[in-house]
Amino acid sequence: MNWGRAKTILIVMFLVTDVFLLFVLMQTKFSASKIPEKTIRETVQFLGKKQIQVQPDQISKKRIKSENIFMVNFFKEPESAAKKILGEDVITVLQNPADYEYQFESPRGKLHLHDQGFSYVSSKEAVPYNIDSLPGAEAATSFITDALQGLGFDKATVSIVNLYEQDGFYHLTAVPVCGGVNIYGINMHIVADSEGIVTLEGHWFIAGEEAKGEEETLLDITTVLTELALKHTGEPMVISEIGTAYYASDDFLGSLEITAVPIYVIKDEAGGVHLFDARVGSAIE
Amino acid sequence: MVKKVLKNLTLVCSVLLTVVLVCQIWFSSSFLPGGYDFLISGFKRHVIDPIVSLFNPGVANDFSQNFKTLYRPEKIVVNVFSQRGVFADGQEGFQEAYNTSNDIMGKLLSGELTVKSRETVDMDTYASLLKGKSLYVDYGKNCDYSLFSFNACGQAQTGFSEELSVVRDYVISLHDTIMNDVSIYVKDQKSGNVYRYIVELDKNSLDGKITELINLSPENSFLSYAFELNFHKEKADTVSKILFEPMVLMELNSTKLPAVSGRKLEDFDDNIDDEMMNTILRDFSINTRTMWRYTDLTDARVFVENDATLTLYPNGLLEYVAEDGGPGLDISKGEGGDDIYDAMNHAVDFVTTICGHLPENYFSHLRLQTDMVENTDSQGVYRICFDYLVDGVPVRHKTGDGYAHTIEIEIDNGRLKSYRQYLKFYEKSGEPEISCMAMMNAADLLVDALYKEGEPLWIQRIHLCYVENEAGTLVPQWNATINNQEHIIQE
Repeated sequence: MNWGRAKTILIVMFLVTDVFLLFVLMQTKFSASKIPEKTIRETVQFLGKKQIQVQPDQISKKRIKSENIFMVNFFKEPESAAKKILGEDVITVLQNPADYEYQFESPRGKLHLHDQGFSYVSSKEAVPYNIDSLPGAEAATSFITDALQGLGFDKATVSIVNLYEQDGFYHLTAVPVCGGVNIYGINMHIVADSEGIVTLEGHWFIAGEEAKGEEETLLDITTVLTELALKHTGEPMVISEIGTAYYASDDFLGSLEITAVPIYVIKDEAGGVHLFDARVGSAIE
Repeated sequence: MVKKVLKNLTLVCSVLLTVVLVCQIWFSSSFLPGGYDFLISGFKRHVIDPIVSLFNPGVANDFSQNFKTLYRPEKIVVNVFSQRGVFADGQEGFQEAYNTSNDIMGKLLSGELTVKSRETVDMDTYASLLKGKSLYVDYGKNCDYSLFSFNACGQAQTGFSEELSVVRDYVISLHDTIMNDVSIYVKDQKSGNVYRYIVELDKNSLDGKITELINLSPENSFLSYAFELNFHKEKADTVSKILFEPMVLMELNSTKLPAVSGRKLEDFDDNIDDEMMNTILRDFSINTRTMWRYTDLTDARVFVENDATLTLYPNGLLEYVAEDGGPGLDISKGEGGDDIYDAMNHAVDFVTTICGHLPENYFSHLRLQTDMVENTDSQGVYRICFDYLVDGVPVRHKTGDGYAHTIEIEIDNGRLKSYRQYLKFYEKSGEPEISCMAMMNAADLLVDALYKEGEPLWIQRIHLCYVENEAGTLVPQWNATINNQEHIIQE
């Protein structure tokens, strides 16, 4: 028997097999990472029947990896947070760790922490904007985020939403941002005058160091859109934007650490925003 | 030559590459989106677990062995006339005494021993046996006969099932006769009848064993039963404020217990890491992918699913609570079952699973502590408790409204409604022994607190336990049961 020739034949056979297996593997991985075109087409048709209009190119084909974000309460260490906001010359007025209630004061203002959130009031006298010389929304946003930075909040992790002016004061809501994505559910209400921030109230969390990735991917957006269609009974709807974000349930905001979970954010042209838990597809009210 | 080597290398490499690619395809989640969990869990259950249990004999995989580990007598008293040897669970000599008594009881119940006669006797006769040569085995809690029998001989139903319903203690007594037989007395707690079974047994061998055991325990030689001191019945000439069950052993002198300290899992394992926590979450069927997770203001780690919440408190307490009105976790694996036998089976299996994740020999320190009888008020609903023992002395945990056991399970027809377990280890700290109040002083304190004119307190049971306070310090205290209510007595 010619072993040399037999080996050559075996090598060729195995190499051919390897090429074939590599192709199968790549094909499997590629198809698993994408939502099939047919599924998207059928979803769009189904939505159409339910009076919901969406363009196929608005639906991302890519399957997204499921990742949670661990968020740490900005006030987890009350004294340290108070120093950031009120400065080094802060005085502790009330300290009740058992019930988590703290009050701090300094020449800069007063800070009250409790299990329902926090509030800050500046001690300076308010100076409202002159109605005739109000800055634009962009300038006001920039001015206020700089002021937040001065109070110890990292402006890169702050996103301003819902800005409006009333009686010379700007009222706005800030939500945390992680990796350029808003985290819904956590927010603080800000009132600002022409010189800076007058009051802050609400909750604030920052993304912790640990952000654990999961093996699974998020539920396909097509499944979530189907869920939306099944629940939709009202007027015709035109979807303007589909995106992903994170959400922290307000049930758990009185905590030291929470997990923000991935969600799908579906916006319609009438201004409606529909949030869905991207892990299980349930609607978030 | 070089060409030949190259050819061989190429062949080997291409074969290896084929194997790697096939594995990649098989084990890629995209190839089988459901995953291989069923294969992995099957492999773990049938291959890994049996191997692990070989190296960790404290935790087995079957109910019978685990139940035997968890259901043990509180004490075995060896009586040789006025001399007493008390072997509390965990003390030296206890296992030997237990093996001897359990072996005889097992043989009786399984029918291996020939019963020469059976009769009922009165309580005075039962108590008087303890003045002779006998072994008194006290479990300290009522147990349904099916479980008692299962523990002793591996059969839930035997020829004694008709007359015995609930067992708490029994006596093995040697006769003064020349006949080679032994009497076994079992009191049925439900009917109050005491049954005497005379069986043929090698009396000399048992006599030798009893002598051997009594020599192991010189310190307890002069303990008396309550009935011997007449503490079990009211006196005609004086007002009795407190009475004891006849079989309660009276400790008249003050005693000392070793100092004990507790340590949480974190203390020796850095932290309950995510991997272990995920394993525990899986045991409670909490989906780590879809749960909500937060750390509350007391630093407790909370995991929330639709129907249940699991919390790990900073003091080491792990608590699972099913939502009110929710179904609860099915720990019966779909089998259901509403009797105590089934409930115990499911509870023991579940506790074994959880304890299987804990390092060291945690499981072997546990003992079943509550009565194991049918719940006639609410069929299928059971509360089953386990205590952690240090040298036979149970550890209790002071909470806001009482004293918790180390593990407390609530089951409703095979479904877990709540589960509390202190994930802590306790051991002797090496510090000087702690003096405990004398038993009679504790009884006096009970009288001060609870006595009402004309209603003497009836102490069913009294024993020492360690109480862990909220600061984590362990203090020995007397624990008395009056009218089925526990009272932990503080100085």
